Amino acid sequence: MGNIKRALIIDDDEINNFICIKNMKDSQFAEQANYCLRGREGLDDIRKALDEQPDNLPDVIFLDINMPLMNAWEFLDEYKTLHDRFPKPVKLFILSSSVYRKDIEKSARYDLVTDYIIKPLSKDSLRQIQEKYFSN
Amino acid sequence: MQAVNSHLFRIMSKVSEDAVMVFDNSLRILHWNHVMARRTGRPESETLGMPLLSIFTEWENGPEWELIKLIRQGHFPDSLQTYLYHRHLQERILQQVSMYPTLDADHAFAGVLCIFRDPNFQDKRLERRIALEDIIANISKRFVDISSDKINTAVEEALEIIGRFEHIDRCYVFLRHGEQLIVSNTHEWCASGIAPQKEGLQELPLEAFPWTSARLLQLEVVHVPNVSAMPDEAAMERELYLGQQIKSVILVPISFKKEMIGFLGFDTVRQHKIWPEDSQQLLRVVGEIFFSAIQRMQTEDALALINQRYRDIGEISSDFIIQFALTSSDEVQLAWVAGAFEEITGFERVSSLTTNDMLRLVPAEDIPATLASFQAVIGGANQTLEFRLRTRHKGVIWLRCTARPVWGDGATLPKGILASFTNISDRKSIEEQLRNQERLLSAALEAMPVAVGLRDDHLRWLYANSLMLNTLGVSDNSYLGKTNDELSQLIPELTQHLSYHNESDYEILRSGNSISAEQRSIRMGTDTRYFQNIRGPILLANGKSGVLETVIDITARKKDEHRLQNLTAELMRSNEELQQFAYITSHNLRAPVSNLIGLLDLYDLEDPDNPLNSEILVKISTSVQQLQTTLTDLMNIITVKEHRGQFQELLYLEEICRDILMSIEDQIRLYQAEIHTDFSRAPVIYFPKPFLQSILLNLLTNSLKYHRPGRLPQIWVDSYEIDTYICITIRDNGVGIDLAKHQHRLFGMFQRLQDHIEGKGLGLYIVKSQIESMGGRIEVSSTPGEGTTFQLYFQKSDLSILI
Repeated sequence: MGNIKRALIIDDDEINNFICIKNMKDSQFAEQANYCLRGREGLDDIRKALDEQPDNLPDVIFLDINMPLMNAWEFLDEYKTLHDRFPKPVKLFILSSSVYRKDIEKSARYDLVTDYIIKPLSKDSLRQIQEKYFSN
Repeated sequence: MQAVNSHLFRIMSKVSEDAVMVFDNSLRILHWNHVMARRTGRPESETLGMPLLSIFTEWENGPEWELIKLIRQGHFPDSLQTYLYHRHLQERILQQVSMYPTLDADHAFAGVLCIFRDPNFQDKRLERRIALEDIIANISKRFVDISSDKINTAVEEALEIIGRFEHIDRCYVFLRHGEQLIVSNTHEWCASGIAPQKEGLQELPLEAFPWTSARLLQLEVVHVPNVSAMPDEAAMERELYLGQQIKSVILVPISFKKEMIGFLGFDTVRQHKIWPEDSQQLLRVVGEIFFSAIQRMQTEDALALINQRYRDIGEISSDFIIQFALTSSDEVQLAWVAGAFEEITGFERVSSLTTNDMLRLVPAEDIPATLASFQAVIGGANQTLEFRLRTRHKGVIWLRCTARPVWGDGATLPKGILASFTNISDRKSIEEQLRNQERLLSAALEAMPVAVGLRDDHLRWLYANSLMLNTLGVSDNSYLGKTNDELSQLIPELTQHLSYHNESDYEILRSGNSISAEQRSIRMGTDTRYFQNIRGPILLANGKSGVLETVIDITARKKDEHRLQNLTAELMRSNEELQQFAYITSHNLRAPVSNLIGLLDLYDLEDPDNPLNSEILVKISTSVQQLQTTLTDLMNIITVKEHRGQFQELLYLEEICRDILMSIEDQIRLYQAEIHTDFSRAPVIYFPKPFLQSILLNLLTNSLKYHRPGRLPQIWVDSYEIDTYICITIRDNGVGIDLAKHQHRLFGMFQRLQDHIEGKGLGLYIVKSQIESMGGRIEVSSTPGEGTTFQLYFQKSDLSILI
């Protein structure tokens, strides 16, 4: 463990964010975990890190689909333009309460999306993510 | 001696210029000389052997009988005045008769010799002249009725009669060749023993006989009683005559319009002859008689030639020609027939065929027209007639007859009819077929459930079947020949329909392409109907293009289509709703549930006093709240979806709006909002009350929520009528919406466009669903930073025919 320095959650649902961060802390998923309530904030955060301190880029991002003003798909369209400048690999997961087939299929079409995770983000699912994607 | 006496008597009687008759003892006629014959009109052959009293009937009781008795008693009485009766002239001619007894060889009484003398007889020549006049009169009479083919013979016979009477040896006619100075011998009579000369006397130039020609051309008679004494200037003629042993000659000019066109000639060989002046004049008359006869003959020959040619032409034609002759009794007799008479009628040419015979072959229905035509031709008019005729083998045929009167010279009535007949049965049968086809076509056009119309290249109406008339709303034939413009003046309601036609009709004529279009009710003031209108170019009989229009009533199909469309739309809407529901349940309903699961997982069961637990409980409570709100919204939506059971009622907007505003009084006060309402232009709508309440509540609270910070919110609510809708507008001075960016999802489910406002994203979706479920619609217009206007269209009533 310990190879995930920073995790970023982008979701307008504060209860979900509370759950995520609590579970990450409890399971020592990442050294640091933050959240943004809007997609725009998340993008600003990433851009700022790129510009000022690339080390501060999150290693893992959890993105909600249905948010006001900017949903996951709109976020991804802009995120893609930044991705080329990333100095390190960043894994992005869709985190949604939706079990709606079309949402899952759509996210699978995005190369930048590593996986689709259904809420709530439990300690189990965090462990699975770590084992599957960050265990080397 | 007796025989010598008898012979002598006969010669005496023959040369006598008195009429001599002898009858025997039994009162039978024994002798009757030529003068007797002339004076009584009875030839010798008729009278010889006849009883005296059968001819002289008056003698039995007259003085003549007394005279005869005296003679028989041996007396020699005086002569007596009596009459000779001319049988043909029917004249009694006064005579002085002397009677003498005749004796037989034994000097016995044998009979009576009667010598009749004209008591007024002065000059022997006068009697000869009278005789010649008689002859010429007879000749003239003979030529009046003569047919032209007998004229030549008649001329020669006349020459013979004159020749015999005047004791001429050779009589002849010379005719001039037109205007040339050439003559030919055309007719001739020679006494027995005299050689004919005609053959050698053809095409003689007049100049060869200058002395004679000069006189003849002056129309003078050339009279030469003694050829030998002819002067030397006439040497040519003299030699010619003497060569033929001619002793006397007379040449009489024949003139026409003061021109010498020929001459008569009389030669004597055996004796010299002197022609008295008056006889010469009579010969001129003979010349004129001959000339007119010959001229008539030539004219008729020419006519006959023309007729023959006409008939020849008729013979080779497939028609036939008949000339009818009109007789005085209005009877019409066939004069001649030429052409394919037999082939067409099957009857043989019968010279006695009359128009009545032909009329018997005409079917009764055609007789009046035929007779009328016939009368018109007799009256002098040309006529053309088509009629039927019963033929011998081919049944009834159609004939076309062109007839014209044939005029005689200067006649006021025609002397005949010339009629040409053509067999037009083929044409008639084609015409009949065409008519039948036309009738059939017309009947078919009438029977079709399609309105059919035809217009010419100037878009004038040529035809409309009754369905078309019905569609146009025209009840009679007044549309015929009218253009669309003229027709629309007739029926003002048509204007729109027809002007649309005019333009596209011309386009059809220009391009030759068909146009198919659907139209709504052509005629105003009737139920809405739908028509499929197909128009295309058509070649008219005159070779020009026209427009054929067919209109099919597709109202029933259209209504079915609409029903189907509505059903499909309904199904699609249901399907979309199902998907929306799937989304809602999978997403928004699951969101609080996921949170609850996550929170319960975090709850420290082992250490209930863990301070985190109370925080988690608060969040659990919030999530449960969320869950409930979402469920309520879903219930709302489901209610809308089941609108079909919703009760529509008449709603007073003023009243509904007031209730809503009262229910959100707190918010209004909180935002210090001003609300202006005006429902005076359209105070009521027909709609489910809960829906209207929900719609107004949603939009009014939106306007309050999305007010522009730093500006007191103002909201204007009013209503008005437009078309078949009542429109309610809700206008605010709020933050506005960037429609260019958000319009597509403004009314979508769970869309939240504003950052600083809490919302579940269902409000506008519900509003839209509620309006649309009742056949209305919602529109939005907005300027960011200025404000937003929602326009809600509600159907005035649900009497929509299409749903």
